[in-house]
Amino acid sequence: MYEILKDDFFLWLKGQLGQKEILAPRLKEEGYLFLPWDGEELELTGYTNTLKPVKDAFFPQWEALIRYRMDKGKPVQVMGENPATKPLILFGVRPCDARSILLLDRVFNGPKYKDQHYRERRENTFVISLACSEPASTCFCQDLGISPLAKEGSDILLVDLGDKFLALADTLKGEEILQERPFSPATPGSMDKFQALQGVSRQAAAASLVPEILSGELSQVFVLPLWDEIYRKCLNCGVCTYLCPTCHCFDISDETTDTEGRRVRSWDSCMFGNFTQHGSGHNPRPTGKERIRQRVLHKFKYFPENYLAVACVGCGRCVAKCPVNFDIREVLKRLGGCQDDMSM
Amino acid sequence: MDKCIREIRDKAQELLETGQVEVVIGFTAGTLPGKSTPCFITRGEDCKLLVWDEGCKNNLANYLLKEKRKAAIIIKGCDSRSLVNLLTENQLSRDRVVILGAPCPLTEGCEGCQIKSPVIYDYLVSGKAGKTGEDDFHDVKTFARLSPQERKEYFYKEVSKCIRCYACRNACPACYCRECFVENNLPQWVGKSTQLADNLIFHLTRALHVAGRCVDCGACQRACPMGVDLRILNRKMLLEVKELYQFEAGLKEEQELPLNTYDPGDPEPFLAGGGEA
Repeated sequence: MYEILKDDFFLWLKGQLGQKEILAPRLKEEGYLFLPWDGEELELTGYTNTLKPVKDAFFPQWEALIRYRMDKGKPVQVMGENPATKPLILFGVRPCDARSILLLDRVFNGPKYKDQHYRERRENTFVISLACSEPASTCFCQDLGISPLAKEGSDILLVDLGDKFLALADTLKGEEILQERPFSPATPGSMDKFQALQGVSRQAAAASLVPEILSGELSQVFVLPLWDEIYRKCLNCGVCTYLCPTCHCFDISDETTDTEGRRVRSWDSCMFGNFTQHGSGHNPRPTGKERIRQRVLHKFKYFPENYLAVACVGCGRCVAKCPVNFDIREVLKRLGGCQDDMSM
Repeated sequence: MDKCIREIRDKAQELLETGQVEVVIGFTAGTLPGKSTPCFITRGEDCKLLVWDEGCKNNLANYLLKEKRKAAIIIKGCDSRSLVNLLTENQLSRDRVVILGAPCPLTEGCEGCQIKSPVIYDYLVSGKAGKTGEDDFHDVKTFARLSPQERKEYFYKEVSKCIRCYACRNACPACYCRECFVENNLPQWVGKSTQLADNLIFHLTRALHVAGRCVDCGACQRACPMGVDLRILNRKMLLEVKELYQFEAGLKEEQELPLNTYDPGDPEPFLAGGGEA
C-alpha cells in the first residue's frame, strides 16, 4: 500500500502528458464524460460517475475496421484500420467500471477470441481508478458483492483520504509505478483509515441481489410469468445497453459509394427489434418480452455460465437513465421472490 | 390532486371490474425520487397503486399502439393530443379505448404548453389544470434572429451528444413507423456511426417526419439520456405548419392532416394536376 499527496499526484499525472494521452472525467452540459485532459484543474466535486461507461475507450461506439477501394478493372484494394496507438491513461474510473473492463476482457481478449482492435487499445491503456466515498442512490455495486473500494481491474486505485490519496495496485504495471517517487509507502495512519472505510463497505455488502433461481434450470427460468408482465412499459430503446459498461453486442455494416467504402463496427442493442431480425423476415425475439428476458438472462445467467461472473457491476446507469424507470434491481428482487409494487 | 387520484382509481377499478376494459394504462410510484413509472393494471384491487403526480411525465399514448387488449388509458393534455393524432391517422380504433382524462399533474408546466386538460376523453376527472398562455413561439422567433452560423453551431452541438439509442424516437407517439429508415439496411440510408453527418441525418429526418404531427409534448427530450435538446427544431416545424396550413396537430378529431391529404387540383407542379388546374 502506498500514498501520495493529492497535489503531488496531479503534478505527476500532468508529467505523463508528454508521452500519453489522458482521459479524465470532465463536466459537460449533459454530465461527466471521459474526455481528453490537458492539465488544468479537474472539477471533481459532485462526480459520482461518468454518463457514458468506460467501455468506450476500448470498445468505441463505432469504429472503421477496414476501408476498401474498387476501381474498374483493378483488384479490390483493402486497407486495414489501425486503432490509435498513443498510450492512454484513464483517470477517475470508478471501481464498478474498472471491474467491467475485466468482464469485457473475457469476451474480447479471452482464450477463445482475441479482438485485435480491443486488445491493442487495452494493452495501451493504464487505468487509474478513484474509490467511491459517496455512492449515488442508483448505485448497487455492493448488492452484487462489489466493493466501492475494490481495486480489481485498475492498474492503480486511489482512495481519497483528505489531502492525500492512498494508492493500491492490482497489476504489475501499477505496482512498478507505485514503488517509485512521488509515491511512498503508506503510513500506519493511512492504512488504519483505509481499513475503517473497508469495514463499513464490507458490512453493507452482506446480501447479494442475484437470486438463487438463476443458477437453476434455464427451462424453468425461461417460462416464468414475470416476463409477460415486466416488459410492457419498456420502450425498446438502447439507453440501458448503450450506457451499460458490460454490454458488448455489436453490429457490422458496410458503407459504400460507387468506388470506395468502409466496414464499420458499431454498438448494437438486444433491445432493438431488428437485433435478431432474420433475412427471411422471421424474428425469434418478436416482442419486448423476449428482448427484456434476453437482457436480464444474458447478464445474470448466460454470462455467468460462459465466463463465471455476473455481467452487471451495479453502476446504476440503466436505472438512472431509463426513460420509463425500468429498474433492473426490482426485476432481480422479483426473480428472488420478493413481491413489490412493480407487479404490473 | 387527492380528489383527482381518488376519482382516477375509482373509475379505473370500475372499468376493470365491470369488464369494460381488460387493462388500465396509467402511472404507479417509481423507484427514483420524482419519477413515476408507467403501469398496466389488470386487477381491480390493484388500482389503488395508481398515482397522478409530478412524476407522471411520460406520454402514455405511445403504449396504445402495441396494446392488443381493450384498454383504458389515463391521460393528460399532451397525451390526449397524441391520441387524437393517432386516431386521425387511423392507428387506433376508438372503440377499443376508454379514455380517462385528467388535468396535467405537473405544477411547473412546460413552457409553451397550451393544452393542460385533455381535448378528448370518455370520462373527465375533476380538478383544475394549471394556467396556459397563448403560445407566441417567441423562442423560435428569437432563435431565427441568430446568424446561420450560430444556428448551425447550436444544432451541431446538440446532435453531437447523441448516442443513437433512439430513446427519443421510441418515446414519441408520432414515431411509429414499423421500420424506421435508420434501421433499413437494403439500402442502408444512414450510417451507424455517431459522426456528425449520421447523427444530423437521423435528427433532421425525424423532425421533418413528425412535422404537422408533433404535439410538442417533450417526450423525446425527456427520454434522452444525453440531454440532446432539439425542441426548437420541432417547434420551428410547428410554427411553419401553423402558418402555412393554419393547422395544429392533435386538437380536433375531425381535422384533416395537412401533410396527409391529396388533391388532384393541388397547385404544386409535381402532383397529378401538374399545377395547371
